Amino acid sequence: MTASPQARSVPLAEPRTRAPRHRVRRRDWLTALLFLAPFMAVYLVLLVYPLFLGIWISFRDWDLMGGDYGWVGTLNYQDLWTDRNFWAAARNTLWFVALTVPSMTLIALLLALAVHGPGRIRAICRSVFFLSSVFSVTVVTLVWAMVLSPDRGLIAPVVQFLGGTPVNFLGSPTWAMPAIVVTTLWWGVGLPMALFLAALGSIPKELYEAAELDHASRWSVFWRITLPSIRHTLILVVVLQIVGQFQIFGQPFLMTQGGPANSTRTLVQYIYETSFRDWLVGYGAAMAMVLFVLMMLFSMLQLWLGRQGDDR
Amino acid sequence: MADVALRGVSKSYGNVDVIHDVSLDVEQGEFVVFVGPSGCGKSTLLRMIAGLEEVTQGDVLIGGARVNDTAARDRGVAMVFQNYALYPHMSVRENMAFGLRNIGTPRTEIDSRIAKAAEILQLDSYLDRKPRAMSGGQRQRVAIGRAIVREPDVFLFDEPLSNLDAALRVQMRTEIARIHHRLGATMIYVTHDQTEAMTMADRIVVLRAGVIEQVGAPLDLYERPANLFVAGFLGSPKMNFLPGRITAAQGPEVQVEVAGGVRLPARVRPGSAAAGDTVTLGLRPEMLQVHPDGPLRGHVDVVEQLGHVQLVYATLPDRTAIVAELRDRRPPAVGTDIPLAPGPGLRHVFDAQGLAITLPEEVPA
Amino acid sequence: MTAARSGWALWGDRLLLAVTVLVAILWLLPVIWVVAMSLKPNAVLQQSTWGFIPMPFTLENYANLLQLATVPRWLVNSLIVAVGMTLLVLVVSSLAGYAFARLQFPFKRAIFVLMIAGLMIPEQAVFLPLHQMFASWGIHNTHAALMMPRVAVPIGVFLMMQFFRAVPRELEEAAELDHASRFTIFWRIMLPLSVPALTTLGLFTFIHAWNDFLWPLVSATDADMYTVTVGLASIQGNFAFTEGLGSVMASAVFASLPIVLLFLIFQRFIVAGVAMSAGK
Repeated sequence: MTASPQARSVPLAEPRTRAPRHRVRRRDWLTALLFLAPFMAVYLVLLVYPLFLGIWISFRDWDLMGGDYGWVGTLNYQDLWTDRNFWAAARNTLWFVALTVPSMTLIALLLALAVHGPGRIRAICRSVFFLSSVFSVTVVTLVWAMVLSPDRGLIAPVVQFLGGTPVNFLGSPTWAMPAIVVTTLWWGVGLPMALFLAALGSIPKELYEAAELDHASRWSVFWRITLPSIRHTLILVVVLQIVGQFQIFGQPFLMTQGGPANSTRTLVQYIYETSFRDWLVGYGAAMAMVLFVLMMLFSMLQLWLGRQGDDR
Repeated sequence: MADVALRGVSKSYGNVDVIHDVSLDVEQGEFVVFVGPSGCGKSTLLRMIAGLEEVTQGDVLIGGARVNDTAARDRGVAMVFQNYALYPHMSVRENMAFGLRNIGTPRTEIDSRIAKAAEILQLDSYLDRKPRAMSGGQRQRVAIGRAIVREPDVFLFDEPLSNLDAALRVQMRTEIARIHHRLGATMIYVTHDQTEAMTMADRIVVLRAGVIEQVGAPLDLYERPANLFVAGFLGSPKMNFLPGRITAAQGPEVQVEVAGGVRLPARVRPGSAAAGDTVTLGLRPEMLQVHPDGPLRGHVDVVEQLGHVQLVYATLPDRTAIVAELRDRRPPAVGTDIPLAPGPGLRHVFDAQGLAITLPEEVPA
Repeated sequence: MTAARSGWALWGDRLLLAVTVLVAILWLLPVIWVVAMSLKPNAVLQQSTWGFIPMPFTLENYANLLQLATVPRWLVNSLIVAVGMTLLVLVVSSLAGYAFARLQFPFKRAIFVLMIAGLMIPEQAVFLPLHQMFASWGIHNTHAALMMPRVAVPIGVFLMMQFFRAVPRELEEAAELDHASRFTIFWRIMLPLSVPALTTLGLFTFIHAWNDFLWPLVSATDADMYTVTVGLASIQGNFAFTEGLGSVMASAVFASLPIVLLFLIFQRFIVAGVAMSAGK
């Protein structure tokens, strides 16, 4: 049955048709276009186009002043293969990422667990640990270059007091990179910590209350409840860290200038020097692409590993 | 003020039909309630009238003009939403003024309209508050006020009371009825609550699965439901449905055998049933009485004491659940058997398809 | 927490808190030390840099800084770039975010995917070609050149879209019935509602702009166009660490002051922003 007994039938004013709505729709498109246009213009011109221009440049002999000496095929990429400096820079970068990402994640998680919860003291501690990440890389490296200084630093007097010999951290090929890692940890732990805090805050209280009624120990509460609940944040933090730390440039550039003995020269610094000191923009662009692909691969690997866990 | 008409209106999302070929006329100044279970399409239908959903097929007419392609704001309708949809960053006054400012209404006119609406809704002392600082009932009043100041041709209400607690709901119910009386405007009101529908409507439209089941005045629907669905939907507690069989039919007079052998007389439209037909007998809870000669033996399961009435939930010998609304301060005890008799009042009969075949009759005064 | 704790667990809590406070103090120590140095005479610093209380005390380093003219100039550059970039990001991101959240247009999905893909492009992949483009347009060493590249980053659009999606749809429908045009709805309803989101996005953009290093390093070659971040780097090397230590420290403190103040005032928005960017 379609109409009710009481519904009166009235002659149709107009024939029933599929209503043409083009006019209304077109206005919607135009509005959307106006809203989107500013961003899309900037996005296409200043991000998408440069990416392709970069790929194009990487296949050419191109200098800093825009001098284009023609297509060289994959020559720039072939040169990379035999460039010892490039491999050293890649090794240094990977070493830095390998040192930084796990320690950063662990410290961020520990700090988050420590300062998570109510109370003024914890709130102040949260601010302190986050505060260091608002400084610029120049200020951070200035501070830490001083702290680590063997004659005027903060660590040297303590070492001396304890009867040791002060180490010139930034002047040692062994210690320079770890020193840069420590600087980076101090600088960057705020954001991952805040991400962990947000995740910890969104775990339902009832879970902990239920666990308490079940006589769970703190240790098992952490492993059985807390950690599984923040798993996705953990993966997010690791991916963000990998992508972020691959881009390391300022810290070694300002603290050691890549030394000593090229032990801290990273990929971005090498790209920068190749392009802006040696004027080899085509070669630099090729390296930039390799870095880009490397970053993509690592973050995808991480995302893939994260998804694997979901299936269980 | 304007009338609203739907002509074979349908709505589908892809292959899913949510509204199917609905035709309806709402007269000027009428208060019509769309009622039905959740998912029946009542809100979608309302939003199609408002212009917030596109009409897949058919026509929507407001004041005689086809508005299918008219933007929502140009249809002369105002809507009150379930979650109030008040602009949180604006005061009550600004909330009400927003729509008028957008069409360039003069300041003095805006002020006088707001003053009038505030007086009707007793919002005078809240005009400079933000919605955040108000209770649910007050917010709903502001939402209604925002509709009133627009002086729309048609008011649309989308489950406006379902976010309020029970007591407030009863209060706002009468308030909206009062506003309708005072403004005399056309109002279409959507609810899933049959009590709201029964108490407020001039006419009720019962919807199920995108189709109109029945349209009519509240008492008409209550007394003469067209089918099992409407009979079961309106009234609380629900009408009792007793599966049965016609044992004898003579003109309108039939005998229906229910509950394992009990024969009850009823009246159906002549020729609509014959002996042997499977039917459902519908008895309203309030017409059941405890009577020593009562033919229905009920085993009492639960007794609910409501003060003015007692609801007795019982099971008949054929395991049919039945509820009786008694006016007896000393109701039967749980676990006992009681004899129940249908008192005066219409005995509804539904055929195997669930359609009513009851002979309509004037209810004795 | 209201649950009763045994005495042992309670002491564990207190011990943990005490350790945390100790770590926090150590964490802050380098900052205190640098501030202290900036308030000591250079002559004293040449003898010893040890100590966290500026005794003897002097403001001479800061006075010198202001006379130097370059540092205030860099500060002004940083302010122009950071404020300009923040405003541009807010305007552009909220407009596009709204379109993605609530408007219908052809190829919406494809355009959205194109935009999200942009999140994967790091600055390092595009800074060389950008440098070449800006050079050929001759706009290096301008404030516009310093602020534009980051306006193109889609994260702001994404955040604003997430926020707008959470606004109840009925609010817009009510406004539509109230005769509001799309732009009126955006301007009078959605934007005022998104002040918290805009504040968060603005803060993060501002901090990023202020601390940006690689791009200003290659784009601003004229010392007059340096931002403080790049400017400070330029004096770190040659501003003899030995005699001008106090001044170097003063310039670092001076350069960090606006950003630290901003952080202290708007902390809770930053925390909220982190939660928001986590996507939940």
